[in-house]
Amino acid sequence: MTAPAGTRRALLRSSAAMLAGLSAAGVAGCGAKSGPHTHHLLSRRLRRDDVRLLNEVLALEQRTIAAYTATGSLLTGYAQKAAGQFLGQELLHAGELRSMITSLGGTAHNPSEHYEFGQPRGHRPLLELLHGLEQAQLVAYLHVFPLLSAGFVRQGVASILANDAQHVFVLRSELGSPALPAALLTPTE
Amino acid sequence: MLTRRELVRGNPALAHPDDPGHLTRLIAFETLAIQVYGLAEESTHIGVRGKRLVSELRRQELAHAVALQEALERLAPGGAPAASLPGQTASIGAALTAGVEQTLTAVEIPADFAKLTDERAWFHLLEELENRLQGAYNGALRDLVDPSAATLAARILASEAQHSTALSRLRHPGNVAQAVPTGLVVGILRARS
Repeated sequence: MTAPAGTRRALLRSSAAMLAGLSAAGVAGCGAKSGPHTHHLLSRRLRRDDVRLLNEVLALEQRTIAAYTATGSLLTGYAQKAAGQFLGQELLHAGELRSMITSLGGTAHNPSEHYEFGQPRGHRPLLELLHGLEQAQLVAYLHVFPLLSAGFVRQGVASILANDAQHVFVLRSELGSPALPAALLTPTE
Repeated sequence: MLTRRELVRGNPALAHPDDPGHLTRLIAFETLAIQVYGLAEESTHIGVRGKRLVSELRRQELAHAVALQEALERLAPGGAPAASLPGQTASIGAALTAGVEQTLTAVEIPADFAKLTDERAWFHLLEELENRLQGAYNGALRDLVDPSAATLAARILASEAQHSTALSRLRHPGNVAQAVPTGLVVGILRARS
């Protein structure tokens, strides 16, 4: 049984308040694993640049959180379990990114007021939506990674990227696509 | 004070002198993985589906080693130290097995190939190996300075994470918590107490 269109639209539009609460709450994460002294080796400009880049990927994580929140109840079986598992992990990612941004002396941006994901109908379109969002995250992370300066930021971002790669693997498997298309993660995966 | 131009340019002359050392260590880990996956391919205790996955993962570990070697050549042309882990050997046959066991033990993965008498045991070993690989990459990422080398390490870490998920899904079908257990992939950095 699928939800009525109006309900679906409401489900696919998430409130900023809920997202702000979810993404900022309690998922403080490990944050800066290296000592704070390493930040001072970087110029203020480099720290500011890292903050800007981290906010860019944080925005994508927040969007993906909204999508998992909206679609979880519309999925069934293993996909629903995966969505629940991945939502928790995306929340952790957002918390880690916020923590890194704060460590660099920056301010983490809040989620958007609402997100529009269209009206995917059925199991497969929902999975394709989630896969598209996860893949967009991979592309973004691979784009910003070489531009990051702080070692602890690279380490943290890499651990997030790797987890998102696992999400992509699972979603591709559920969609019947080759799950391990290449030995090296590429932006076009 | 480091500037972006100095960091992003990727000039080998500006890379941290430890970068080649980090890459050689990662190559050594990949070599170990290639050897272990090779032994798994030869095992009679792994089924058809498992063998297919093992072969693909071995192929990917080889690709990782090649990419790392290319990065190492760029950072230290012709002058990179030989990569090896404690006890690592290029021997074949029974000597390879003994050598691999010794190296696995040295990197804190208990292994006795004589006791790997079913697919479950083999996959458990391979999952431990992937965790250790992830730990090696996670550790290197903290210290690698050359942006290109660090990005390569991040891409390979992501691939190793997918390997873990692939192995877990075969061993624990339907269990997504086992397949993707944690939101931050850090692997095993040191011996479990």
